[in-house]
Amino acid sequence: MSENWTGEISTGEAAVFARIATGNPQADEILGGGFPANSINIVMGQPGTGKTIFAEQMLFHSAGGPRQSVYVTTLSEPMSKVLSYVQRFDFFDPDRFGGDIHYEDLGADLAEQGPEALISCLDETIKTRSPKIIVIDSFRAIHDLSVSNDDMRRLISRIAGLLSAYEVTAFLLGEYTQDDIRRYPEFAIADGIVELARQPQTTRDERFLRVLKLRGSSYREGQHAFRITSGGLDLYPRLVAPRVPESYDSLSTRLATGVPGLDERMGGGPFAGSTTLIVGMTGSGKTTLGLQFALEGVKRGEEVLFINFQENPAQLRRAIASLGFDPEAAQASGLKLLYASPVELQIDSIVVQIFDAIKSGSIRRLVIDAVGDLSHAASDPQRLHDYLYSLIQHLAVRGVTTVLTLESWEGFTSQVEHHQQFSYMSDNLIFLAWRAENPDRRTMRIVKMRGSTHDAAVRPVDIDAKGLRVS
Amino acid sequence: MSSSSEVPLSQDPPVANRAGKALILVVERDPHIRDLESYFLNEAGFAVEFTTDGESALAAAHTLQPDIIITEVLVPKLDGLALCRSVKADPDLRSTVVLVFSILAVQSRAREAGADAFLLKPLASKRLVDTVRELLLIRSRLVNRGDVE
Repeated sequence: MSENWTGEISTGEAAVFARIATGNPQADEILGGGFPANSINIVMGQPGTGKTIFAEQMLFHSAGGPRQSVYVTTLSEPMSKVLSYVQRFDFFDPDRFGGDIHYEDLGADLAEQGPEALISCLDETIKTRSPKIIVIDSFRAIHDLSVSNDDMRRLISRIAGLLSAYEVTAFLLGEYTQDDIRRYPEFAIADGIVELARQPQTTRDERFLRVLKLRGSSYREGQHAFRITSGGLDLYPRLVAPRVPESYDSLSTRLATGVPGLDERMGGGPFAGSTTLIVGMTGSGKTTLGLQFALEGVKRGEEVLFINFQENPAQLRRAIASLGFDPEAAQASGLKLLYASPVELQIDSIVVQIFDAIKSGSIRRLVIDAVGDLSHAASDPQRLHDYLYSLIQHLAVRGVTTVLTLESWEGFTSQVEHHQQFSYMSDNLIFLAWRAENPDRRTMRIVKMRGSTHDAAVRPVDIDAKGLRVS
Repeated sequence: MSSSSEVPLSQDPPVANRAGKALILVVERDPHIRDLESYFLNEAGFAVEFTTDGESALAAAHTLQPDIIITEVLVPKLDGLALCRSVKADPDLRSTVVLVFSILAVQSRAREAGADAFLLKPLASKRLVDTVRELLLIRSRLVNRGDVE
C-alpha cells in the first residue's frame, strides 16, 4: 500500500517552519520574519513597557482563519482592564472579539486552586479550541502563588510538555527582571525571549526592544528603539552595515560642491558616494556650505535631502532665499527638507527616516546639519557611532554623496583628536574656522581626502550673498 | 499496554470494526501527546489503543489487528521505522496501515520503510484526523479491490 503515500500532502512541514507575524513589520524584520511557529516565547519587561500591547497587536493581526487565538489573564491584571485599554488602539477590531480571539480570565481559579488551574485551563483550551496562539499574561505572577521551586519546576515541565505537544505558539508575558532569567525555570524551556525596556532620560523615556534568544532562527541583535502610539509599537530596527561593502574603485565620478574654489582644492570635487565631514565653529559657514552643496545638486536636476536640527523650516527657507534661490522652486525641483527638533530628537527615529528616504534610490545628495545634535540626543555614544557608521556604509553602497556638519570650538589640532569618532568614518574632512581677533577672516583646510590628491594648505574663505568662496 | 474503554476487540480486521469504530494503535512515549491523540481520535469516532515501545506494538498489532498504527520513530526496543518494516513484511498484518508521526523530519526514510503516510509533530488535531480518515478511505478501497485481504 506504499503507493498510496499521503505524506506529500500532509506532512505538516510547512506549518512547522512557518512564522508567526507580530503585526509589526519592523518587529518581524528584527525577528527574521516573526516568531517561529509552535514555539514557546517569553515577552519580559517591567510594568508599562508595552508587553500587553505587543501581544495584543500580534493577536489581532493573526486573527482569522479556522483557528482561534486565546488570551489568558492570570493574577496581575484583571481581564476588564486589559479589554478596556486594548480598545483604544487602532488595531482593535470588535468583530474579532470573542470569535477569532477568545479571552479567558483565570484569576479566580488560580487564587482558589493554585497553579494547577493553569494546567487544566491550557489542557481544556487545546482540546476544545485547538488554538494557534496562546498568550498567558502574566506568567510570572504564577510564582507569587507560594509555589516551591521544585513544584514550579515540575509545573513548568508539564506546561512545556503540553504546549510542545500541540501545534500552538505560546507567549508567556511577565514583569521579569534580568535576574529572573537565571532564577526561573521557564527561561530554560523558552524558545524565544524578547525584552521590552524603558530607560529614563532627562526630558523623556527611551524604550527599547531586544531579542535575547530565538532558537533555530537568526535575528537582529542589539537594542531597537520604539515608541508606543495608537497603532501599537512603532519600532525603529537598529541599522546595521550593509552586507555588500562599497567598492571605492567603482566610484570615480566627482561631484561639484557649488562652492567656488573648493572643487579645485579637492582634486575636482568629492567622489560620488563619499562622505565629507565639515567641522567648524559657529559662524564659520558650515550650514551655508551644506546648503550650497544641496542647491548645486538641485541645479543639476538631482534629488537632495537636507536634514536640519537647528533652523526650523521657515529659517531654512530664508537661508535658501538669501543664497539667491526660490525655496518653493528648489523644493519643487527635488530639494527635500527634513527638520527634527533637537528637543524631541531620538536618533533611532531620525536614522530610520533618513534610511527610508534613501532606500527609494532617487536621493543623490544628502546633508546632515549637524551630526553633533544627534550626539546630544544619544544616550549611548557607542550607539550613535554604530548608527552613523552603518548609515554611511548604506549611503556609500547607494552612491549617495553626503555632507555632514559638526560644530566645534577647538582649534585645528585638537579637533582632529576630539572628533576622531566622526572623522575616521568620513572619506573627506574639512575644517572651517575664524580668528577671535579678526572674525571676518575665515579659513578652510582640507585635512583628509580619501583616494584623491588635495590642497592641504589653510586657505582664506569669504562669505557673501552668494555663499562661501575659497581663495 | 493501556486500554481505552471503547474498544470491543475482534479478530476480524475490516474498516469500521469494533462496534462501528476503526481501531487505531498508537505507539507513543510522550504522555502529553498520548493524551491529546486519545482525545482527538476518540472525539473523531475512533477506538484507540496505546503502547510505548515498538516490540509491544508489534505484539499488540497481532492481537488487535488494528486498522491503523500511528507510531513515533523514537520509541524503545524496536524503533518506529523498524516497526513499520516489520508490519509491512508480516503477512498477518497486510491490511494494517502505518502512519509515522514523528518529531523527526524523516519522510523519506518513513516512505522507504513502507509507511503509508507521514506527519511531522507537533500535533495538529485537524491534520491528524484528516490524515487518519484519508488512510481509512484508501485502505477501504484497497480492501474492496481485493489488494489486501
